[in-house]
Amino acid sequence: MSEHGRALRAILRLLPADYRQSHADEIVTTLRDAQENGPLRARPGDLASLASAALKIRARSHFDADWRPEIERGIVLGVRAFMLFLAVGAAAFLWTTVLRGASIYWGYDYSDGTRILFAAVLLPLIAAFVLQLYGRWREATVLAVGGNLAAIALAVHKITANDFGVGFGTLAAVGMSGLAIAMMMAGDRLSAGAVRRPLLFVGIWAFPSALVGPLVSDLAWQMGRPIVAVGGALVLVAIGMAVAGRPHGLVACAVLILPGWLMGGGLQYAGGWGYVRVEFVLWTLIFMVATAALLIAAMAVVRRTGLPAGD
Amino acid sequence: MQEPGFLILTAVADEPRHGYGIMKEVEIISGGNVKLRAGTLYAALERFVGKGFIEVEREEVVDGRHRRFYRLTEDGRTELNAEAARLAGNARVALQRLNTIAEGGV
Repeated sequence: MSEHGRALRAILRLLPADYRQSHADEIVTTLRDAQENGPLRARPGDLASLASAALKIRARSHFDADWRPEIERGIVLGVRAFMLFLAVGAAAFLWTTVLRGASIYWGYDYSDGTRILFAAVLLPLIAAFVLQLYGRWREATVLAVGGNLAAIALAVHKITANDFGVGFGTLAAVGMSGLAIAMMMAGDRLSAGAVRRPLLFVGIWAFPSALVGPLVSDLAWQMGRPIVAVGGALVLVAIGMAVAGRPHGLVACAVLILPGWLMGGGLQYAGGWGYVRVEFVLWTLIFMVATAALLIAAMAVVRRTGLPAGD
Repeated sequence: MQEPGFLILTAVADEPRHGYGIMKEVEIISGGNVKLRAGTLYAALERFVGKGFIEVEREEVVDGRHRRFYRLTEDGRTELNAEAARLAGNARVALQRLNTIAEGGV
């Protein structure tokens, strides 16, 4: 196949699948006719024009006929996703609190020498993420409830020690997480299988989480910036996957955005306030590599097993 | 309605035409001023079919080439009528004013 043929084929793939199936041959015929029955050599201008048309048609197919139900569905998904976010945040509190408690009990200072323990903060986040991805809501809920209870103990401890910022901030986050968990326990569950219309999902999910994430997880600025940037990049990748008609990849991408931010937040939270250290940069790099690895792994798992059954 | 859309509707107003037929007819109608690209044509066709202005009359495959013939619907005819009247009105006003200026010796 010539380069022109390959380029044309690639551009035709931009068309929505159903439209491509019924119109690709016709479009190729029109191009051939236009060249007076000569061999197919679509000119660059034709290719650009076709690519533009393909994106327009794809956009219309997304947003035209069933736009209103999609908005409603997107809002529902966004609210549910937000609750998932809060529940995962609660799970983060569980382990950061356990680590804090251990440091208080044994007299460790987290800012000196025990930072290796911070890696443990990642475990409940990944666990909660995996549990929810596979529809194990009961276990995920238990994890989150445990996190909240532990966090209340931490909040009380901090308030009695006159550290009102962390204390009341933790209580506020516990309240939000508790509300989310209560709603989840009432049966309003997020299913990854429901994320078939991902643009709205990602959009609605990304913005509130970007605003609330730092509050919930004590995401300090120096750690937060690169992590939010990575999260933003993931949002773009997710949108790209949606446009390319790859919902599986998008789901895997989307579910990593918030846990990723929370990982950074949890790490920073365990590290205390206001530290700008080489370790944070190192952790950020580790986080980025881990995120990429998780993304690839999640996509592979989802492709192999399919999405969990959902609504 | 933009000019390419208007010309496409006009091209299928008298008889059904396939993709390349529409492109050629648009070029003739516009006196060679408008040469449609395939992307412009198919984006417009998809939009007009969605709005019910154009419909597929028949399909044929000859020598491995798949052609789909499009024709104007009743809704399309109404739309084209309204658009043509609007353009004609604008043109009339423009000509009147040009004539007024010419008669005034400006």
